[in-house]
Amino acid sequence: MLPTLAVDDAHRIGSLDKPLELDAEVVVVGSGASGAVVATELAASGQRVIVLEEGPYLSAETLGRMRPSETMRRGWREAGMTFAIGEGDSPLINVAMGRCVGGSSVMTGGVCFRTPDYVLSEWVNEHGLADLSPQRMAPYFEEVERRLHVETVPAAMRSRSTVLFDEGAARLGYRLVENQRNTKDCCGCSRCNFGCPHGAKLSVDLSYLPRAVAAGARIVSGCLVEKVLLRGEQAVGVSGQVLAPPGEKRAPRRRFTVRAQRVVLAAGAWHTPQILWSSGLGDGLPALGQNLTLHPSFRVMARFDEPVQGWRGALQSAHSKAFEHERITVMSVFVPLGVLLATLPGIGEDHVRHAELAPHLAMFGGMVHDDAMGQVHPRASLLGFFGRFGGREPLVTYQMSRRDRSAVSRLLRVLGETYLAAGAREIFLPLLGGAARLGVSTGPYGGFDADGFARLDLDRIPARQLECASQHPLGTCRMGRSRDNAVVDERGQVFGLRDLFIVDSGILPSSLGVNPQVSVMAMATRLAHRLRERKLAAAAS
Amino acid sequence: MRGPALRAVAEAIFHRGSPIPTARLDFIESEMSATLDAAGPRARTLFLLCLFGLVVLAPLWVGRLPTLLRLPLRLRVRALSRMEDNPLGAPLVLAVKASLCILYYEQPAVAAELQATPRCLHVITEPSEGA
Repeated sequence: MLPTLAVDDAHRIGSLDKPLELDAEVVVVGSGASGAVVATELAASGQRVIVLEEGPYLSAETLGRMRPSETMRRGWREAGMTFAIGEGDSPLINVAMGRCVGGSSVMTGGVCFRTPDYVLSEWVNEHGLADLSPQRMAPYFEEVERRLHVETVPAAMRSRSTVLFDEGAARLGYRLVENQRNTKDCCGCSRCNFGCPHGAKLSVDLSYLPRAVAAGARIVSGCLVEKVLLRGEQAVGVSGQVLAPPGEKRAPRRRFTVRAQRVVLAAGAWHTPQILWSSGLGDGLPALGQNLTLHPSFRVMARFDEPVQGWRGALQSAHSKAFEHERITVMSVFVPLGVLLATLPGIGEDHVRHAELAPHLAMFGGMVHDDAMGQVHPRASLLGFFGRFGGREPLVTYQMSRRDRSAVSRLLRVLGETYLAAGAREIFLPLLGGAARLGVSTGPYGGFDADGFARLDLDRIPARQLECASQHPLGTCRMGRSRDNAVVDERGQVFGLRDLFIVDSGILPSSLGVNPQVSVMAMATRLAHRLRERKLAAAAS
Repeated sequence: MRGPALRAVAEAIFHRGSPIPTARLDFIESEMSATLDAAGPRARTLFLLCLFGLVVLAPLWVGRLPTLLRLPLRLRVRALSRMEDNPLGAPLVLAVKASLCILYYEQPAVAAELQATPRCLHVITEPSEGA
């Protein structure tokens, strides 16, 4: 029997022709990794908590019934078509984010890393955040890892795609290391990115929110928060729009208001800035929406003579930090067959020939520990104005720094050379446009053969011609000592306001170079512990 | 326009020497429609602009006037292939091809043909509590 969570759909509460009005001591906006942690900790301490989630609740059973494209439609933001627009010679980046109860934690591969010590030290030394030292953060990491049931992925769960990569790595003098993931009884069906159909990935809808509900928290789905309500400099609630369930396009337009003594924003690095701007809070916060990092990610495919069937095994089972000093992390990954085949060259019979190649393709990926060069734009700005046709989605731009661009070339080189060392016949890079035009030798399926790949000058390929993805938007409301270069203080409170806190991935002061789920949750745990002790303001009359 | 354009492009991408069964094209069309409804206005507009770009620009790559829908299948395949090989045309082709591929390979008959559906390994990481 798969577990389910008690979630109220806002559309089903009360009379549809009247605005929805609720009250609580604390309202948490967003039910993803950070919001779930804060809601759970505060509810467990006896505070009356309401969690508002824009998306629907998708139980493990529901996820198991859906094809990947259906999950994308119902559980991913913009059905998976969210982009950061590259500025200058930067790629267009597809940014995948969850939009459901549990947020992106439902759609991740479940990979768990602590924030690297050198990154925490950088936050202490360069951002003046003394409380974020490795020693002080350690108990929060431990708590999160315990609650999430973080465990090692056994070697037996590696896909053949990953095993081959490790063989190549060994020949080149480095090795893969087992990933840690928040799973229990995982059977390796490789569907993590579309929500675990077995309830084996312990996303926050399974690991945290049930405890929040048991402690009295109420989770309401279908609520798009637009504004923070203020009385002077005091946050006193939020308001927004009740979203109609899918298929009910003609549902009446309905507003909601939640009055609360404390507001905690956990809508993610992409959307929290939007809520603050819509609330008229952008003027005194010059860093708001700035400093976006994405961990730009790339994947390389390789053709082997032997059948690989890369979809058999844990989606993300191993990684290597052998190139951490070059600001790259290589990570096992696989994608659904349709995505895999879409990125191979060929139309018509060429495409069909490639489709038959699918069982022989291996895939490995990696990400860049990037500089903060992206931006979420306010609607009042010129770019934001042009972004208005996006409805409620913000316009986001991203400029890749020079050293990040060099790191991308290095990453692609490492991935390709490792598979060639393992005996791959052809390497397929994430290139827009055919490989043949680059003037080096290619194999029978249009990928690069060993000689062609060795002679390829990756730095000369424009970055905008690379296919790039991200799942880790961070930093747009970063934590710091001053409102001149940060949005929240060390307690997570927005500068200049009372009882308005931000706890999501936006507060991380820089990128991490590793998957951020545990970092985000540890930061949220630290802030929740402080909020627990902090006296609530008098209730709004 | 949207439906016929999608079908014309899909017929070319997945052409294997014989006509694609109508059920598969119907599946792509209805699923794409549902996806665009869920995607929101900007993603929908961008996708439709890419599709429009393909329909109008692809014929130029084989020296023909728009639209792609007027070309015989053989020329449609060639036009899209050449556009895909060009760094300027490739982003438009990829945007549409990626969306269509995700849907096409989920179609039950196609998935069965390829036998590439993920299955459990049945390697349990550790005994459950109380086991």
